[in-house]
Amino acid sequence: MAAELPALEVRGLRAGYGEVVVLRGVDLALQPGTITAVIGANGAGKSTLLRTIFGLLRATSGTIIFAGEDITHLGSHGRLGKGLVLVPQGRCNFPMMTVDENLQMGAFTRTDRGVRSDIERIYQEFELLAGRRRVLAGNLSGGEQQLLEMAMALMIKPKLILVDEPSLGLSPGMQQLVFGAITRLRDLGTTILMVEQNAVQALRIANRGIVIELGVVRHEGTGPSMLQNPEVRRAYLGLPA
Amino acid sequence: MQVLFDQLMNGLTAGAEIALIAAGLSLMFGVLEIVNFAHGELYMLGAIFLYIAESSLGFPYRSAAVLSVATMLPFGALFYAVVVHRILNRGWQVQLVATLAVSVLLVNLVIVVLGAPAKLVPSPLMTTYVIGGMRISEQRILVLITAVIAFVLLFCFFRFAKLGKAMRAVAQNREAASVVGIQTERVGLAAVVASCLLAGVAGATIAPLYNVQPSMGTAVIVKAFAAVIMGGFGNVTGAIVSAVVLGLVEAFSIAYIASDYADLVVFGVMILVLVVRPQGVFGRVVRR
Amino acid sequence: MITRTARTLPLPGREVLGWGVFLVLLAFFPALTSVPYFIRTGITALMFVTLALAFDLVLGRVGALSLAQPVFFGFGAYAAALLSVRFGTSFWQEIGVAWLGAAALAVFIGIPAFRLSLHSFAIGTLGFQVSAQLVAQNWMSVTSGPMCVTAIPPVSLSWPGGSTQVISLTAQYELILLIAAIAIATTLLVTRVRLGLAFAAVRDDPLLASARGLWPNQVRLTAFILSAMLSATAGAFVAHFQTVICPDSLDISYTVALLIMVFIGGVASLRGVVSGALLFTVLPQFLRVVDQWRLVIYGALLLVIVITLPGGLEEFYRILERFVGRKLGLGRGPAGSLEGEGSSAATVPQRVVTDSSEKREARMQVPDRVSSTSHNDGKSQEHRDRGGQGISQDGPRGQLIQSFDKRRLEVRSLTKLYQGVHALQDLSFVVEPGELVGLIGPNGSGKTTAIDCVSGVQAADGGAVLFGDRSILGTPTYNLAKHGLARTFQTVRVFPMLTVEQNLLVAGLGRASHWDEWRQYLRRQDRWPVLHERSRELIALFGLQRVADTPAGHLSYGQRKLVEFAAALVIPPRVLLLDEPVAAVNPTTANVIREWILRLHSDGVSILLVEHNMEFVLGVCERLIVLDHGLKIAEGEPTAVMKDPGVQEAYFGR
Repeated sequence: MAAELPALEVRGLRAGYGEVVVLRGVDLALQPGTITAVIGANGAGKSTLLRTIFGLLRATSGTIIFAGEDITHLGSHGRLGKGLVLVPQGRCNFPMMTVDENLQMGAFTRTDRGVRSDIERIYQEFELLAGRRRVLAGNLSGGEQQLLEMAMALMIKPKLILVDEPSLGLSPGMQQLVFGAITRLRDLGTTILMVEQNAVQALRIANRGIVIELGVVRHEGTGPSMLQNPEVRRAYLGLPA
Repeated sequence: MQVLFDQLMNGLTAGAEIALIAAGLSLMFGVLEIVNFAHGELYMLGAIFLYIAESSLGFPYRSAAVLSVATMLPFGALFYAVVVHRILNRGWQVQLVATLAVSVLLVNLVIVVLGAPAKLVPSPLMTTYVIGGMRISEQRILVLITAVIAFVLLFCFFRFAKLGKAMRAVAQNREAASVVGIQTERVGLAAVVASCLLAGVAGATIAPLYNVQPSMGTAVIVKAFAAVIMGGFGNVTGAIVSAVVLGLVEAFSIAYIASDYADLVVFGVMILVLVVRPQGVFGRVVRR
Repeated sequence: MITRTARTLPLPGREVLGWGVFLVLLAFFPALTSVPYFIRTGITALMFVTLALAFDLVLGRVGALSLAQPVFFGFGAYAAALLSVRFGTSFWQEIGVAWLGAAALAVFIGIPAFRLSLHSFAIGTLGFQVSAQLVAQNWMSVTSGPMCVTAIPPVSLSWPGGSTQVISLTAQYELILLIAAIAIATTLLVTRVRLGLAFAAVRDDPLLASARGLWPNQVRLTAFILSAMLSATAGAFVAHFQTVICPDSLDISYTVALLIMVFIGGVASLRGVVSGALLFTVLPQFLRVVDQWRLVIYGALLLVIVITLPGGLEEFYRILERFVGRKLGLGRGPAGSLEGEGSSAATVPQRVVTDSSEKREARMQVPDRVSSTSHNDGKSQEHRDRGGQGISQDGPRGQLIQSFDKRRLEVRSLTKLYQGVHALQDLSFVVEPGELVGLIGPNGSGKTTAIDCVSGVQAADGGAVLFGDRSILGTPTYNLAKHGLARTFQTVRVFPMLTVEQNLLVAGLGRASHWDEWRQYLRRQDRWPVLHERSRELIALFGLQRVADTPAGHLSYGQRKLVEFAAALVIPPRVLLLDEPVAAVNPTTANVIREWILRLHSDGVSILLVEHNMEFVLGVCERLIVLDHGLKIAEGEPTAVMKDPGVQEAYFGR
């Protein structure tokens, strides 16, 4: 394969909340069609990184380049339009709307007529949701809601998905389901940047892994090499070196 | 029997009035999570604009009414830009005090500019029809019909219009709405403008029935709140239904108990409902 | 005994002294002027100071926006007016009636009102105010309605041996100054006694307060009653001062004025509220020229202030204080205080960050908290001899655990429905005394719901829960906490405005029985030897020394989880319900928590543990219960359960 443009490039990204600076100059590059896992301790800046890349949070300095285009000054609405989507941590759906309505809302920015058929395809991919079409999202279990949120993100056929802690609160079985879906998406060509506390699981399916500590990238490498790296293992995987 | 029907009409009219105001209040709370203590004054402004259009500018009632409602559009935008926008992410105390401050500001501004005494707003709809021995005033019919039309439009708006669906989405989960690409700022602005329009419609149609005075907002806002609470905060349909019920309760209390204590009865009903069902009659309890 | 470094002065003493001086200075005010108008203004100002402090007691200290203040003020006024006009009573008698009546009214209004949510509470109390005003206007036979109660004689003070009337303006001024001083003293007292901790806890997180054993509505009602009594006292004075009392004493304009004062001054700030009240009364004197526009200006001023400087004058004072402090080279005082934190959550950052090295150093400069561990030995000896039955606040730790009777937790046929979805179906299981049981299951299986139902956070739709031999389904969470049923939450909960240590102290307060809790309310926070020792011990064991005096809201996620855990253990519980204690924590923190769980287990505490982290559960629990879709599908020894095919299928998928 010829050298492709990185799907996403971030240079010197700084961001924070008020006077609290969280990201202190993050550099990273994602190749298209890969999964990159972001691991690190709590408070290191992982979620902040995703939110800043998506545009929910404004960067104080640095650049974000998406498929060769500088999107640093674009709002999140614009970034969605370019095919960049975020599946945030915690509940991010509409609890008083049904599963079906939520999926429709996922396609809010679309103006074409293919929404219905795409929804049906989602139901084929995620059987769990198919059986709960008319259930109010707020009454689904945590794992079901997480799946729904991933499905909502897929409604705009994204090029890059930012996923924040997909396995949080899920049983191992559910986690496998979600990671499986993520892997399938990667195989179809979507680029994925995934924050995960469950570092072992994440690095197993990831092409690359990066460790964020105190707002900067500390280690990076391929998934397998990170799993073997003794320092990484000890500090972040909870495994003996 | 005559009295009963009269009170029924009064009650429905009062209910419609409260409902138009309560709907706007509930909408603003649902979408922006702000309890707007100045909402009664928006209603009062609608009536004041009507008065100004008729007496100072010399418009006939019909055009004056339309004009006064139309004025609520830019006013709503102004209100959003100057006040609402700045108190969006603050604690509820800040929002409450800010809107209360706006209320104080507006009431006294009107007093200073136009004077405190009540003003009369004439309307051509003065005829009272007599059907089968029952008296029905034309103006009251206008109020009822306008209210019904407004609510039907509102319902369709929420159900079918993209902006309406966006409003429901923002009301349920603001961050999720941003994440799917809804521009929450615009939706917030639309919600404020919509609630001003509703209040304006109430003002323009009710004004000819009663006197127009600076304090008319505070008189009705408490009942509007009662309706919103009873209906479940953020539930527009619930607010509307509760408002009608409260309007009827008020009318019948005036007739059969004593006009002074009518307010007490209304409160009593509200407190009773809340003691039995703190989330309101229509408030739904969802798991998380 | 109490150590002091040269660079820091203990703030509390300085504060009380400061107010004392201030009040004495105010007492001399009438001597400085002979213009009656100014003294009258002073009297009005002091009246508003009292009313504003009473209002802030409910708004700032327990976080409830009550719009019913005029009811109590008006009641005090009318009571004093009618009693002195008709019966010629002395001021003491009027105060007595005012206090009793106001307290009764507060209970009458408070009990239904506090059941309501935040906004509804405001509207509900507004309803009471409007109704009270209507009653005053229409109950002609008693209040003379719009005709007002007139010709009220001056204040009459009597004592054995004589009586006197307070007639001169100066004398009246001194009297209201005394009343305002009482209001100030009450506020100062509240922040220093244990009741103040209860107030802050209930204000910050009522659900958590409940889980720690505090009864939110009772705590709020206490503040409400105090506030009512203060307002009524001011009302009684005003009746004599004005010599006329009309229904407009119950008007909403008082509420508006109080809101302006408190917000301009700074919610939950003593000096802020006092300044706000003084400013509000004195300012109009300069605005007399544009009287018409006065209210318009107030509205605009209030709007501008609340948007630009939400902390009000208090925020301004703090900036000033820091500035002056830097200039004079004084060290910083203890970081966490209950002052001036009510207005908005904006002061606490939304996201928290792990300590950078600069921050760590900064925290090391915070001086050690004053703690008295050396004395009071005599007291402990007494309690040691008493043998501490159940939970005693003053007994040493060793005694606390041993004296527990072991209790069994039994869940029978527990059912919970959510709009047709079975969250729990006929669930039955037992946790024997001293057992460490894991409750696991795929997502949505109902684990958290089970804990919520058992701990009283959610109502169940069927079944029973037995704690020992007592049925506890339907028992409020705080009562369960008092009986030794402690829990942690899936989304970590701490009291963000209280320091780590205060978080632990509150937990200790809540665990006492209702009566023991109430008895302690007026005892000082800083003289609490056994609990201080215990919290220091826990803080050291969890490695939180550096942040012991930092508001918990400023800590990282992992640190907050540790604080929550420690708080559940301040007084060792009989049964501990842990909801995902190691979710989203780094391995080091997880290990600390695991150690503690095992240690508690060996101390004999029964533990029910909900977790997803399989490795954690397998390494720790004696027995596992597996749920799926609200049903129990397996139970038994961990490795055996994990091998069960049904469990495998439900959990890991096909």
